[in-house]
Amino acid sequence: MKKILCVAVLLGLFNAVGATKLPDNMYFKAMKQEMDRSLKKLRRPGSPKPFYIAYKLENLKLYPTVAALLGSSYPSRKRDDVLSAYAWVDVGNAIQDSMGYVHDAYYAQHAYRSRRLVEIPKGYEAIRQSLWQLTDQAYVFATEVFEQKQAYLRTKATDPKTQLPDFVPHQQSSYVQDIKPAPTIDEKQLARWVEEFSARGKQYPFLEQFYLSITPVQREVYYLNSLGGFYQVAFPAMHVKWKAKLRNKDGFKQIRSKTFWLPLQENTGKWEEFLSHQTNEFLDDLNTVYEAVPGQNYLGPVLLASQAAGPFLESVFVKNIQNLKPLLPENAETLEKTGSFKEKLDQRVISNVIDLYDRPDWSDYDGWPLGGFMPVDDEGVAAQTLQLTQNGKLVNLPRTSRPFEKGARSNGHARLTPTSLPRERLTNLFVEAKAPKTWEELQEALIKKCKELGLEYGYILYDFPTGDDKTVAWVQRLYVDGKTEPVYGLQVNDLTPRALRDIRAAGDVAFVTPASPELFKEVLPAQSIISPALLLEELELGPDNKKADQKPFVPKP
Amino acid sequence: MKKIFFLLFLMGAVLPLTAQQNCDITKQKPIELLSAQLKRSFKVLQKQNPPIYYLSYTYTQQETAELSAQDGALAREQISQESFVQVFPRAGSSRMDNTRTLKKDRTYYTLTNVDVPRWQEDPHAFTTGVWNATEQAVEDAQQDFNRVKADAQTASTRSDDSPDFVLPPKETFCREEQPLQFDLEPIKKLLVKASRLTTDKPFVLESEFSFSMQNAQRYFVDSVGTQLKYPVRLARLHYTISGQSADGANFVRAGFYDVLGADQLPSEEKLLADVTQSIGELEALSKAPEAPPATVPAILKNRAMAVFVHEVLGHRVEGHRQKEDAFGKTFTDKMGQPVVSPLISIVDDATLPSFNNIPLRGFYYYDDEGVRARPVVLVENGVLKNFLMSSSPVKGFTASNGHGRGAEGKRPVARMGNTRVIASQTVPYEQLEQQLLEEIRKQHAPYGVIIEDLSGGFTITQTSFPQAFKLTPTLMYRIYPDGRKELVRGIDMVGTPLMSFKEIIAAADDYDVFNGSCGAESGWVPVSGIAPSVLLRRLELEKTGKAESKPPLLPPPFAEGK
Repeated sequence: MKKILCVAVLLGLFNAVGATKLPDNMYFKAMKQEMDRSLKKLRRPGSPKPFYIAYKLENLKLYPTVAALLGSSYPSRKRDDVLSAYAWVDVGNAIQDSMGYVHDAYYAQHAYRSRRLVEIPKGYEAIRQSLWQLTDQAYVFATEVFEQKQAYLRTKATDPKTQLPDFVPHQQSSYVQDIKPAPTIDEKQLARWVEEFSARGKQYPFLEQFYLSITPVQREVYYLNSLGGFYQVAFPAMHVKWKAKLRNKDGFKQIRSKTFWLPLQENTGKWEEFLSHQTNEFLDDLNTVYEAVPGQNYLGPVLLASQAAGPFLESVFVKNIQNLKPLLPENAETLEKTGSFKEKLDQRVISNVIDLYDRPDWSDYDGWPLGGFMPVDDEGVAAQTLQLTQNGKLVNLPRTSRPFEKGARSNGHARLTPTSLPRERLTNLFVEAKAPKTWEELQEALIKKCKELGLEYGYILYDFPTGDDKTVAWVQRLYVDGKTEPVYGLQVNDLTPRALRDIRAAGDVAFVTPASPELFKEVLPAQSIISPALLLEELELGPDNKKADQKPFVPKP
Repeated sequence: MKKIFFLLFLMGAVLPLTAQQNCDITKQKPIELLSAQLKRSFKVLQKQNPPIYYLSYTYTQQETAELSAQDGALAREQISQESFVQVFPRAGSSRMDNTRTLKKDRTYYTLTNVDVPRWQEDPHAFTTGVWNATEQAVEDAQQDFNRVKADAQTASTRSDDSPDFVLPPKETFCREEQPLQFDLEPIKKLLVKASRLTTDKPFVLESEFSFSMQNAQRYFVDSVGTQLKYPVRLARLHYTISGQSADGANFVRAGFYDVLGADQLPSEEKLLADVTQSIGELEALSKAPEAPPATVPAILKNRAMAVFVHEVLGHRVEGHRQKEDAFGKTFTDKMGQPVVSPLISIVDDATLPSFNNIPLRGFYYYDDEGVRARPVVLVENGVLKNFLMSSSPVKGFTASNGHGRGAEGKRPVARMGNTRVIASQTVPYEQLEQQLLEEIRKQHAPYGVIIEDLSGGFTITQTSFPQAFKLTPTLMYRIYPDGRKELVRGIDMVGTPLMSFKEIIAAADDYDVFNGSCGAESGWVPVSGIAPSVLLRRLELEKTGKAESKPPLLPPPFAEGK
């Protein structure tokens, strides 16, 4: 009883603290009104009433994608302007609530999901109607899960002295960005560019497809919880993608792509030169892909170009430092594994040539938009900048209001995603090199290391696989005499977080990689990794053993 | 004499098709480009192992619009312009090819269907896109053929060993029509206004008011030499309003307006009146008693009868269902035998563009295998006469009759178009109700039912399940011997096809149209049904399924206290 009273006091306290005025728009008006009504009236006989509600409205505007194939435009596909709503309802109390329990691991993806509606009409009444339905579904779901969780916990021996509360309320915060209407884009100009630049692919007879698309996107997010935390942010950006399909001289089908997120602004003219240059660079690279030789087993130093360093860190660092509070029951982690770095605090996890930071306060890096910008987290807590590693040791972990250690407090890193409840997430991972080296110096260091080991060559990776296919799309040998040779058909073998300790040097120019555990990564990057090139002491590469593809039945027209 | 007249009537509908051409196929640039690429590819592909013995391209250039409103605001506005090509190679031989349904493995009905650049801007890029798609499609077809060969070696003998394909006749056809023109702004306002009617109704759970439009120009070429150009034009305004009772019963009311021009759209006054009536019906349904299972005399109103025929008989006379052993083959051996009441004839006539000024969604010039549409008499005076045929022959039916249909990216199979029920004797509807009352009294039944509307349903055609159907009435009345009517809910129509159709004993003269979309192996295709109201001597009713969850605990936000 005492415990419950204490929690009630805390909840009351934080309601009072979150006193900043809500933005005067239909999104917040609808969320506030429906939240108040639900907190006051929503109650299923015999079940606990909601003690925490959070809403998130996400408005996604996708302008017509302008794409071209070898110089000719596709007609614009569907223009999307979609409002989605999410609702999370928690019942029980802060000591023991309804979250974090998955009744059936097989259905984890469904059971673990917030209640979501898409294509909500953009009107106050319609948003209220949608939130009404979502809140009801989420509440009913929460009461069911609460009972299941209680039943499960009754089967376990628990020590009240060591038992952690499910939820520790934290001071609520707010952030309101002035969201301007998505800028008017000169679509004709974009169409001209994609036609002009993709037409350059015609000069390369081996290209079966050469495709360029530009998709302006504006994502607007409105969040409110019942403790008083709220935020309103926008992510305007322009997604640019080149994609090429070819069969290399040995007959292997190769698909290569290159992606950038550019700032979304009315005056897109300044990007013409950038796009032109990147197109030429991509085509030059494709030439090397065509001429590439097959890869062979290799164990030795590897240089990760900056565009490969981000995906590398995503695989071995980011995935291991997220989702730290385990789900119940123990076998429920089918969708998102608990990060193994939970147990590594104050231990050496990485080389000391770089330090890692998480920067939720950055909306851009050197003008490049960052998807992880998050001044307030999805539990209404101000997101703190974290130094994650120092001199090789793990010194901080992202934390939420759902503690996984006694006494730990949130540092504002709870992130809701379409597929999960609030869990520990990084936002913008920034790699700081202590003694940055130029690209040329890194190559020299690679050669030097190869010579020391008596190797004929080392490898430079321009891409790093993060999915099920472990083949490196873009890789080059660097011989000790400085000669380069493109290679295909190599995959990364036996990669573990141990590779982080093999980083020996870092570059002086960072590249922004969009990274995200979410679906639709390309449309909705929720995280970014800002990393320079990294030189690894050792990485194992080997042939991917794919078979050569047959030649085209009919020659290209 | 009657029979001859009937046939002449059908002939009359098909003959003018050649006269409908209004452009020169030889001057169509996409046809020229597609034909050249097809010729170039086919020459090489027919020498491969396994050979590609037939190849077709379907190129579609279209504009679509989709609008949707809910609760007083616009939910979706999507306008798109698309350009895509579908490639259909057949690997092996017409005796056995890649399209054969596998007995021991999963059969894929997908076809390569990819975006390509518009031909108008760069013919070279367009052709490159078609070439790329061909390469992919041929690889897939060859792999599928290898699976077919393996399956044929180990699977049990097929009871119908007809070839997998018959080459369609060579055709040329060229037709252009004015694209549909709609000013979307007033339509948006109309949808939003209509959607406001539901927001303060406590019994309405969800509602949607939408408009969709498709303006397509389709080009078809194949290795037989067929060259076609024809338009596909569809537009409809549509709404659905649904609710749920505390015991989990679901109710839905809907309205459809298929049109070919802004002048055919319902006026604001008409739409709002219809929506208001639907809301009233939904409220009445939420308070209506639940009917028990029963076998009673019944009237199927015209549109409900159209759905009934589509589901219960239409799918069972699709050609491929007579061939594959996985299907129940209810009618396969019934050719020339009575299968429905002698009162009824059924024709599938995709050449019919409209009925009573209502555009028919099942209208088309050529099917998706390049075969000319034509009326097909399925049932004449109760006797089975024909099957709906694609280019996959079955025993006794060696050629297509223009019913090979499929959605984008789906391999065509035999499907319905405009399925028309014709009654040889009709009475005014009021008289049909009187006949129902007489039948109730004659059978000493406690009541009969009038099924005003059906939301659809399903029919099982696989042998592993009973050859039965289940259809869900959305508006149904009990009618007592004294003529009193009572709205009821919670009941589905069930039965078996051979029994049910023989129960039709009278028909009214109130023909009406049901326009809808039908889903099957080859995807969703637009279809229409035309039928009169009919009286069934008896109809079996059983309890309908209910939702497992309760409706929301709180009333809708704007219906508090109402």
